[in-house]
Amino acid sequence: MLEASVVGRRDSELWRRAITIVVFTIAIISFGVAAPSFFTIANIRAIELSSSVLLIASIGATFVILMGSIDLSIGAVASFCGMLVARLAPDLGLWSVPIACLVGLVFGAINGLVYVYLRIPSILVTLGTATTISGAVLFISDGRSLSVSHAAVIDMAQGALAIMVPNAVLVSAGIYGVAVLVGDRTRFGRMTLAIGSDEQVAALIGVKVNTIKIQAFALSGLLAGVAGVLLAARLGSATVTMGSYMTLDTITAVVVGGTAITGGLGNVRLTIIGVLFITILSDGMNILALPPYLQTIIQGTVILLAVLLNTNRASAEDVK
Amino acid sequence: MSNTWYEPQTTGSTAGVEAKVQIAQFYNRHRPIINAIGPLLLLMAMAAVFASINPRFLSWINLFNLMRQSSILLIVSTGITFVILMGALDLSVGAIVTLVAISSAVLIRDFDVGAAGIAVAAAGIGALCGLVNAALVLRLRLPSFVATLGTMTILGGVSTWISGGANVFFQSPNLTWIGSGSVIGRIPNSGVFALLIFVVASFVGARSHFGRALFAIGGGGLTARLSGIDVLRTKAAAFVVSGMLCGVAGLLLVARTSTGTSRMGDDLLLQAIAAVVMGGTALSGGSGGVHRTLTGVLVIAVLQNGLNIAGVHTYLQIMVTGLIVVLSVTITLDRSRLASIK
Amino acid sequence: MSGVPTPIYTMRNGSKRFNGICVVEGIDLDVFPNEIVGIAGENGAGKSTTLKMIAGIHTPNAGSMRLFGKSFTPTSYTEAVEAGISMVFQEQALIPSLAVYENIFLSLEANFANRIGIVDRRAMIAVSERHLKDLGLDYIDPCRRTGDYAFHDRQMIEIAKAFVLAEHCHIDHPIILLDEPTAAIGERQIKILFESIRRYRRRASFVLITHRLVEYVELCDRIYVFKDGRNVGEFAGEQISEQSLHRAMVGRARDDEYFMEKRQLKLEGAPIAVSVKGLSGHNVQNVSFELRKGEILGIGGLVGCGKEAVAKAVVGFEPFPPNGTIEVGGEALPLRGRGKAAMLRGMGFVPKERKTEGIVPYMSVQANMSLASLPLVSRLSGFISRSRERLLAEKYINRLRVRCKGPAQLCQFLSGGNQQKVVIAKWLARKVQVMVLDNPTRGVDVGAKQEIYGVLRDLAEEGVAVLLVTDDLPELIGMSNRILVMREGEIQFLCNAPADNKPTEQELVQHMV
Ligand SMILES: Nc1ncnc2c1ncn2[C@@H]1O[C@H](COP(=O)(O)OP(=O)(O)OP(=O)(O)O)[C@@H](O)[C@H]1O
Ligand SMILES: [Mg+2]
Repeated sequence: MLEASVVGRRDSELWRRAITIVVFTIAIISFGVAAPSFFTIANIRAIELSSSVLLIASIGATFVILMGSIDLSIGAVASFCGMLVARLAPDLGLWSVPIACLVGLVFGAINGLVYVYLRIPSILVTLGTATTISGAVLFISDGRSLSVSHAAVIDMAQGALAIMVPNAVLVSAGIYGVAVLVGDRTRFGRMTLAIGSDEQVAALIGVKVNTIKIQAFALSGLLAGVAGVLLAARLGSATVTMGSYMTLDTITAVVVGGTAITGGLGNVRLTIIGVLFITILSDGMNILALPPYLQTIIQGTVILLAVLLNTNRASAEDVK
Repeated sequence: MSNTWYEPQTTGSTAGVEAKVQIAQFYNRHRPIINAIGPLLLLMAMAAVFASINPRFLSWINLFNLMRQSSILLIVSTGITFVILMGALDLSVGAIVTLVAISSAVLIRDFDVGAAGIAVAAAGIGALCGLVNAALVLRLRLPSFVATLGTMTILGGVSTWISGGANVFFQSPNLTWIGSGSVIGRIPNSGVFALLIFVVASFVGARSHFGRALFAIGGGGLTARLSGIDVLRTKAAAFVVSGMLCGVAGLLLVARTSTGTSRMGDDLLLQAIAAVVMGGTALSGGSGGVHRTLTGVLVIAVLQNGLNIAGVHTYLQIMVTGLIVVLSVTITLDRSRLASIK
Repeated sequence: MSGVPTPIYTMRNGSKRFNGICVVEGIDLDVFPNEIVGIAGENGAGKSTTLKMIAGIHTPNAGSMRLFGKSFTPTSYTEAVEAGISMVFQEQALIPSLAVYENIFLSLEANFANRIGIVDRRAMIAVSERHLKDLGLDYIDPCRRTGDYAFHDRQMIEIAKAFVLAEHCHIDHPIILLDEPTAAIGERQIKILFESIRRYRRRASFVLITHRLVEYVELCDRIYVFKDGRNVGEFAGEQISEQSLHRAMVGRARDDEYFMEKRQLKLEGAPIAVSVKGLSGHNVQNVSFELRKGEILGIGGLVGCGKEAVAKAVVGFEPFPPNGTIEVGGEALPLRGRGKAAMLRGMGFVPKERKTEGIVPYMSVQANMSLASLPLVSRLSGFISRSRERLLAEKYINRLRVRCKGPAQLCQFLSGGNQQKVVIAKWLARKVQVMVLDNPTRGVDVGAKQEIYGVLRDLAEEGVAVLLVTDDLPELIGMSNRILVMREGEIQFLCNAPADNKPTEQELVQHMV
């Protein structure tokens, strides 16, 4: 009987995936039919660019969420790093990019250290640092937008090796590939799952829980930084709150990708589905020029439907 | 003994070990008191700092002002505590507050509904939103985080739709009196109202069967079910209570300004979660208590009010807020009942 | 063997404190090559704590350890494993959402990783598969989620894991620590496990903890007896017998009346309390039986024979067999809301998985005990009265001799046996009419077991109908008025077991397999 139930579960999992893909395709096609400008090269490029930025940030968020923690500082870190690039690019040129990413890493590491050593729930640590960092963005920009006035930096996102593939896409694809490998095939990937599933048992067996937690948060900060830099390069300018949408969108993407918000269940691979879902949906609705309130309502409904389709709720004994 | 590898602790200084043991025992015996005093000291320290920067901080006017400001957060936080206690989360609280505020404003402006009718409508809309959350979580088995993330977005859209994207002005002396007037001396009504709700809710959380069931569900859902607790009903009730209290908060919020603006309650979400966690209720559920939430609310309220009064530069104010949130949680959080910190 | 053999592992004066409270103190312990050492003692005596010190999970506050002649100070379990010590944890240390093979090698992935840290999955799976087969577990797929397996299968995975780790680290003579490995598994698996232990002992040593004294007699060469965190006795060879161990642990000889058969009631014509008719589905086929007031009805059978499902069905716990009816007090349970209805009609359920189904770990002892009977501890206003609640808790703490610091202590920090008593107290407090117990003495020490048996006899004398589902044959035979034996979901055999004419174990086993 065990056999049967497990096999049944696998089947239903396949079904769910299939349905997700079908729904997805239908949505794309109907957007294309309803708005002819949806399938133009310019629009596809726009989707590619904005989903690459979100994908990078979401990858970091996935590992944190797999551990059962949460990172609310992604948006603030992204804004800060984007602003930092805009600020430093005139003087340092391309060097501003690694510096900004490094700053992201440092922010993430601070999150992790505070979380682990002061023993404060991550939601609050990152809420606190998010507030502080968004204050710091105001500080370094004096509340104004800055344009990114360095061609090489802008080229990093907008330039293209191939016609249809902007550099930003190459960067995010590379990061995604590595992340999938890390998630599936390395110690780190497994440990994050173990911590999310049962932290006490993980500690008992000898998992270095604290180290892994700090690493995951540092990674999340780094990737948020990269995403922020790419965003600034893509937009050609940096605004004070340009990254703040990412905080919620990364979480949504991760969850729509089938990762349990309580941790221990899911993987990085599927996060890309969530990212594409969000980006294509909002792009399509924009092109159709739906009124903003309707867009929000549809977006909320679609989140619910997507999670309904894409997560294995039967296996969660007790839905929290 | 020749082969002792843990020498420092055994033979080293027994006095040191004894002292350590005694401290540990002392802490264990008086843990409740120590944990209660920590936050109090923090609040006093904050008040002292702000008062020394600007003596006006401790004036009656400002204290009543502080009470008025914190009343709404207190009501929302009280509501969300019930949900958090059972290990779930309600991300839609801010959106519900906004929705109720705006729809109340529209009801008064366009339909001329009276004060009593508005009160019922506000609580009703809130409760209804809570019921929708409950249905999504319990019927469709969506994790509460996701379900309420969805309703948060949807309700945000609905609010904009109702308001037509513009601010909704209205006039209602009765409502203004409820929100800003005072019956007992100069103590603001909204503050009295919020405290009343808080006290009742604390008692319900600590002593009622409903409260106990919430703790049991948060601490071990399967055990709760096998002990004959009606898990579904309890969970649904928690969401509805949370929604209803948000409705009340939304009404008070709009009563104060007589204007419904979009997103006016959205900030309350993170503040409420922060207040609950600061109070020492675990996000994983099963430990903490409604009565603890007051500490968190006070810390946040004092912080905002104090920084304003102290005239700190806005950018700096934002930066300091984040740091102090982290710092105060470090002090106030009772970690003894947390299995693991997520 | 010539001369005095040297121990491969020694602990001298091992002590451990939690929050300033001494849990074990002054423990001396040796393990010789190829030896099976037992540690016996009551619940909370400090057995698991001692093993956890050996395995590097707890750092001793004082004392010294030596392994293979060198000083040994592990700081984590991983370190101990790499030094040749592996452990079967009392409360399974498995991560449900990971695959079986991932669990087996958790935190040892480095051994399978290439230079850039990518692990060789195929090698891990192959090694796991080989060892699972060795333990007769070929039906377990190393790639499947661990959480998909039943409790007893997970216990076997936990055991397999310890064996794999011992083998894997290429230590000549590993030590395997077994903390109540047999508590959750059935007779057949126990047999396989014991065979493996005997086979492995040619190249390994074992330390064993169990609450079934027979197992010590069967396996151990030497036994330490712990009491209140101290080493109070050592038995070797001929001295080991159930009687001597019982006396050393409990302080008095084991009376013949262990199961109190004399108190077994004669039940001609007692009214029927529960009648189960034609229960089918979910691993159960056409099960019907009647349970009378004051009767203790035992259900036995191999693990996986469906007896747990029957217990859960009777208390209305989902997933519920789709066919059949259950009548309590002459009235059938409704289809919807069965669990609630069963509770309302006075049913109590002591489940098998104590940690997740029995207690709420982060609630106090008193809150756990009153969980099912809140109205009893409430005032007229409907609110809970702390003082009544404490009185209730104190009553049952005394009656069941629960070892705790007081009603306000968190259940989390009670030893396993005492947690079990809290679960039983929860239902006693409610004054149940029907009590369904699934392995109520799992992980409970001999003394406490007898207390629980006493409670069951009390219940029966008060007219409560008791349904006792158990893997423990002596308990099944000793306690029951009637015995049902199940096999592959069906009732295979039903016999009376009057106090003066109990069936033998062989008789029952023959119907199980
Ligand atoms: N982490 C801990 N913190 C505080 N007290 C603890 C902790 N672990 C164990 N104890 C206490 O130490 C004592 C010994 O526990 P231990 O688990 O070693 O008992 P045991 O002999 O294995 O009992 P059992 O047979 O029930 O498993 C118990 O009283 C328990 O309450
Ligand atoms: Mg033990």
